[in-house]
Amino acid sequence: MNLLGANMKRYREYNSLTQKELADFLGCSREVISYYESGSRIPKIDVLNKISDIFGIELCELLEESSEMVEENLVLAFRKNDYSNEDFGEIASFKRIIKNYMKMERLITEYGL
Amino acid sequence: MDYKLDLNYKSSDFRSKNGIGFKDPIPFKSLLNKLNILCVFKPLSEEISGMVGQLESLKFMLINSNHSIGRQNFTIAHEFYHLYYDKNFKKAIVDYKNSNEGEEKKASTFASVLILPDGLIDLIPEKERGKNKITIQTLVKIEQYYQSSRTALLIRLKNMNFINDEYIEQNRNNVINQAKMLGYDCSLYFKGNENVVVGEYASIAKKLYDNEIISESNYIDYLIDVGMNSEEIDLNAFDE
Repeated sequence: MNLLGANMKRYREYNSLTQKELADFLGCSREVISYYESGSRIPKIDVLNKISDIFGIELCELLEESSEMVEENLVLAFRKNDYSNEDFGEIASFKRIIKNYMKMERLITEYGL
Repeated sequence: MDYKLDLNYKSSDFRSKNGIGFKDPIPFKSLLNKLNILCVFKPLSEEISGMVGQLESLKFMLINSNHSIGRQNFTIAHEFYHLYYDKNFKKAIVDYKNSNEGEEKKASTFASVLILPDGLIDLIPEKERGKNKITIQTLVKIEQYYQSSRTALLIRLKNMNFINDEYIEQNRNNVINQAKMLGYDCSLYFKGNENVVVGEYASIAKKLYDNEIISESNYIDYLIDVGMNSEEIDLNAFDE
């Protein structure tokens, strides 16, 4: 299992998602998720973007090696209960807004605005 | 201390800290802005009321825009409890319609008292203050003044001993027509706010763009992410 696949699996499990549920959200089959997680296939960039949105993390963090960093990011990972696929999409877009906001706040601080 | 009394104190404390009079309606959106809470309204399934969370110093909420405005207000007040008074708050909570245990129950009681303070009695004429005497005109007047759902108002009036369950059953329906016939704006009873984002999100994005820290396409992407469509985006809107 490569790092990307291992992180995908970890975030998916933390969000209490099955491979099938993640596959439904991404519009692919469960087997494809299994390939991604085992490292035998690499997701395209647009798929990675969708995956990072639903986990509420930055795309680059799917490649993050430090487990401490990964844990820190999990605070944004709302646990899935019985959301519909539509809810799932709306929640992903909400997480994206939060991610953007955090990113912008960091830039504001960094540039002293 | 009796938990209801404790929540009464907490709601008074919340009002006082935010400069809201003890009998005044809660100005929801301006309060969210003042408290710097990023609040996003999205259409969700009926059973999800909202979500609340905190990440570093950022407080954020997701509110179901498929619910009526009155119910959305209740959810926002409920989430205020989690953000400011819930000792078990764990950075991210999903609120479901029927969750009625522990801190969830406290959050709902807090919301009820916060939105509909004891001072609502001023809106009830003297002759209607006996048991089950409140008229429909008064119900509508109170819910409109405090921007509350009928359900929340009836439960609050029952807790204040003005009405009983039978009265609630008789007065929980036909709310929109009643308000309409009394000449009120009925938006309180309908869903709304879809894709509204309350907070400084767009202002911060603009500041970064104006200072050439983010590119034009970055800026546009940030606005699209909050539900603006590309035709609506006018980069010259601030030109003199």
